[in-house]
Amino acid sequence: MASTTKIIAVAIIVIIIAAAGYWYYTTTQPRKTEITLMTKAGMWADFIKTSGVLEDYKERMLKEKNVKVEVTIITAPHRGYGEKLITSFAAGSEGDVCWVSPTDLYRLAETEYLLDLTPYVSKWPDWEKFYPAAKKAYTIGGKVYAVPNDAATMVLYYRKDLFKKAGLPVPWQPETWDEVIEVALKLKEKFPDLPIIIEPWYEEQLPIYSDGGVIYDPSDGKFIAKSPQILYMFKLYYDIIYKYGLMPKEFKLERWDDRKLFAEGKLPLMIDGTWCYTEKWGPNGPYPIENREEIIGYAHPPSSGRPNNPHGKYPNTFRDYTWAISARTKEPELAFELIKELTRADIMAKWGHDTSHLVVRSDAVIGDYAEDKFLQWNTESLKYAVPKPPTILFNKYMDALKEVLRNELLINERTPEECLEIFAEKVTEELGEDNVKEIPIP
Amino acid sequence: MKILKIKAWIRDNLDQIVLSLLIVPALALIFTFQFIPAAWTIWFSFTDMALIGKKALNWSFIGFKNYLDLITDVYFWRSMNVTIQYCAVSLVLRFTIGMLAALFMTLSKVKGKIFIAAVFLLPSAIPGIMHPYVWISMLEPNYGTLNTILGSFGLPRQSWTYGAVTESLIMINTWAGYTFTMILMASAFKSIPREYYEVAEVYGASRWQKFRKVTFPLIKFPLILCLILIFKEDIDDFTYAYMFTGESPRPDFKTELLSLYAYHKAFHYYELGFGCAVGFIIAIIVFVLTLLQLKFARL
Amino acid sequence: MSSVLKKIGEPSYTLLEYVVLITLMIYVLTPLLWLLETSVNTDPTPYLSIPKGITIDHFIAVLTNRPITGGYAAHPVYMTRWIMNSLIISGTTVIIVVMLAALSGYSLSRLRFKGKNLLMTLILLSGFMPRMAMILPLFKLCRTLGFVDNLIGIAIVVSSGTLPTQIWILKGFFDQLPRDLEEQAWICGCDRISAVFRVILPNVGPGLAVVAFMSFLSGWGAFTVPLILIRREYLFPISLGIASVFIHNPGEIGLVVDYGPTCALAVLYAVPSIALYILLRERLMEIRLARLEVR
Repeated sequence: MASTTKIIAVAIIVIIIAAAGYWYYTTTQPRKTEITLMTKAGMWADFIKTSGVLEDYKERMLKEKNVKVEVTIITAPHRGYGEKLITSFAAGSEGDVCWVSPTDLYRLAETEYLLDLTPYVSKWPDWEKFYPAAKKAYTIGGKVYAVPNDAATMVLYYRKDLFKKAGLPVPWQPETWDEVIEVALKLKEKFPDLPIIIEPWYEEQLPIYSDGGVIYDPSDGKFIAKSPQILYMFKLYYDIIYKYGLMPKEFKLERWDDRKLFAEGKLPLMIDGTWCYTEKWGPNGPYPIENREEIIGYAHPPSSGRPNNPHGKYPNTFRDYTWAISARTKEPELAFELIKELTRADIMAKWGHDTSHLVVRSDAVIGDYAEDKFLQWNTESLKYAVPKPPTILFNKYMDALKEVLRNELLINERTPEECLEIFAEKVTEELGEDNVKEIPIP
Repeated sequence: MKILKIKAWIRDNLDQIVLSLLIVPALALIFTFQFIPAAWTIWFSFTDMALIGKKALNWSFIGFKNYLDLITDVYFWRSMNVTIQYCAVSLVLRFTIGMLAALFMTLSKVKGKIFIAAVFLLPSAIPGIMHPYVWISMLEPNYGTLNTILGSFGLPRQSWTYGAVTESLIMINTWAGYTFTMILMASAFKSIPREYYEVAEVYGASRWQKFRKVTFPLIKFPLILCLILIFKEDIDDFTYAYMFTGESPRPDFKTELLSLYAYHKAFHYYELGFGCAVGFIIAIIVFVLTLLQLKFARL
Repeated sequence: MSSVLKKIGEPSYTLLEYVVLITLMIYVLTPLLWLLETSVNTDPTPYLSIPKGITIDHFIAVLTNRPITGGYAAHPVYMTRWIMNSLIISGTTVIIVVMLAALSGYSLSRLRFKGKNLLMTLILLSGFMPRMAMILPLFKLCRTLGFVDNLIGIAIVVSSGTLPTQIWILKGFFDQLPRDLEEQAWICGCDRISAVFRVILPNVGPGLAVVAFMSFLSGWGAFTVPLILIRREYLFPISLGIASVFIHNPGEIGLVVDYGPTCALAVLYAVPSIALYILLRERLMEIRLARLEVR
């Protein structure tokens, strides 16, 4: 009898100790989990692997959350990444954290495939340091869906050597497009043999912003089909091509290799993205220019000269890539911690410096990035950057604009007024009457 | 009784049954990985589905609406126009040039034929992903090889990437695609048993008669096959058109083949249903043309 | 062989031959000049130029997995690994396709039934829907079957894509074979299956060579299928590898590329296909001719 009680007592004690031990073991032992990260193969994935950011992340998670996390990188090449991303989301096998382009982002957010990051960023002190333009572009209906990783703006590049030969002042920062045309005309006079003097557009809509206009009104969610600013854009291009003969229209139709022309000094003035400076003309680029600082001049794209421009002195556009989290993730906290790590100021600065892209947070102008004169100067332009409309119709709007510019302005040589009419008609037809509005032309 | 009958039937037709069984594994493979996804996409073409966006979740069955939209779509017809030109000219060129190369490789006595064969194969042996680089270096208006050559002969430069872009496309497609005809026809010529010619010679057949009675009947099938497969590949494949176009259609639509249009609809405008409808139209065109060709060739 | 054909089929205009040869050579080689030149140029550029110096450094860089400077900072590559993956995929594809296409091509050639043309056309058209639209269903299907990140699985899917064409090609070769060939074999006591292996297959050597070569090419150059089915970089076939190391945007000129190694890799990429073709041409066709002579 007694021995039975004893045995039972011992057994209970053993069980309690075992349970306590197990409890102790499970609570103190780090939890194991996995996060998948989807990004482009090649330099994108390699940057993450070699920059040590994943090790830092794992260490931090172990220390702060007592989680042992494995990060698996899923990749697809640059060519084909978009298709793969969309297919993965549609099939439900995307990564927890994904590298997403803005156009896909709007579509994904609309389907609620993406996690609403608003509660996470509101607790994140660093979010304040991101530039407003970048933040605004990913806030859709009041919800934040992505954290920007980098950006690029438009730069007015010019050849300092040709400017000096033409007796023009260097460095140069035009205040208005008229000034640019004036300078271009002087260059044309001095160098009549140049095949082309100026390339005025990389992103077609830029002059609309230069004149203080917008293409999308966030207050009522409508696109602008007709406005004095759109007319200004057509006029500017028309004048450059036909009135002053500063750009042969074949240049755009045939897609001449503008970066090479610039590198060879056959194109003194061009608008192109931030990345060109290193990607095309840097020592590893296809058209290296020696002594870049002495040869390549850079200026902000000017405004039209209209007073009180809401976008500031040098309105600009920008393009970028972002990190977003899948709504189906099982570890939203950990995924967001990974984004925090990936957009750390020093990592962002390193990525910006290595790939010639702008950082999107104000405290990231550090290290090599800060020593790069061009990048440091260019970062300022983010202040003037106009965010792209956070809606899917933007694609169609831009396609209509490109089509009118190409078919009507370049091929059919129509006047700006005619182009404006055709454009308004086209946009209304493509986007639907409910989605567009017209601002009367005085 | 019944069982016996079946048994007897099996015994009588054993040979035919064994023969039909041989085709099963291949059919199973094709059915699983080609038919099922294709049928799935045909189903998409009757919906307003998108891969992502609102329509990915709240899609609905809309019957033939995509097809009706398609008939009234100006761009579809422009694209059809381009496709017909492209496919017709490509077909002729890919076949003729491939045939010339095949004849050369089987008939010629020129020394170093292995080397020549290697050179002829190069376009299909280098990676497809490199074709854009190779051809941009050829066609760029100012620095491209072609315009440089024209310039050195004092000829005017050509607008390969704009005015003559459809022609450029055909040129690239022929360059990359003639090897198919070459390989197939070279082996067809090689597999003609030479005894046939010896017999014909015994009967004193003329050169033309030999071609008519011996060569042609034996290469008829590969020949028709070649034409069918080239057509199918050209109408299906938009690699080279894509390289002149990119993510969104060119405003002048000169490179917008039907297949590329379907792709742009599905991935750039996110109208998967519409894209699949275009794809199904392509399929029907190929289907009808193939059946007609088989009928006329009496195969 | 060729001399016989020549006597019978074509007039022997040697001059004409040379004209054809030279024209074709110019057409084929002019675009490739840039590729060949750049792969050995010490100062590679995006356009054809006269090399400042000749070097084999680019080839060594590729073969030793040396990090590539793709316009930006150097990043590591896994060239040899990618080449191995591609060899696995295309080798498996060749085996599957040659086997299945031979069996079904023979069967379709010998069977007679109503609606054969329809079946043949359906087989040919199986992959007719635009591939990009098919990737979602295909991906879902393959995920169920466990074909994601699986090289053999990819080979199976690629095979299913190229099978229809190859079945058609082989059927044509079987059609050409005289029936009395297999009837003779039956008389000698072979059954249907062993007749196929002993008599029929050896006699369609050129056909098998074509099928083997074409299926090798389709496995070697496969892009879309591995793009959606492979998620790990170390499992990439070489086509995806090239696309991920050497970046370009369609329609944009002046690409972000380390041109020297890119072109060297493209030249190396061409070697297995051409070697295989020459091998098949030399071997398989000889075997077949020998057999016929014995008969």
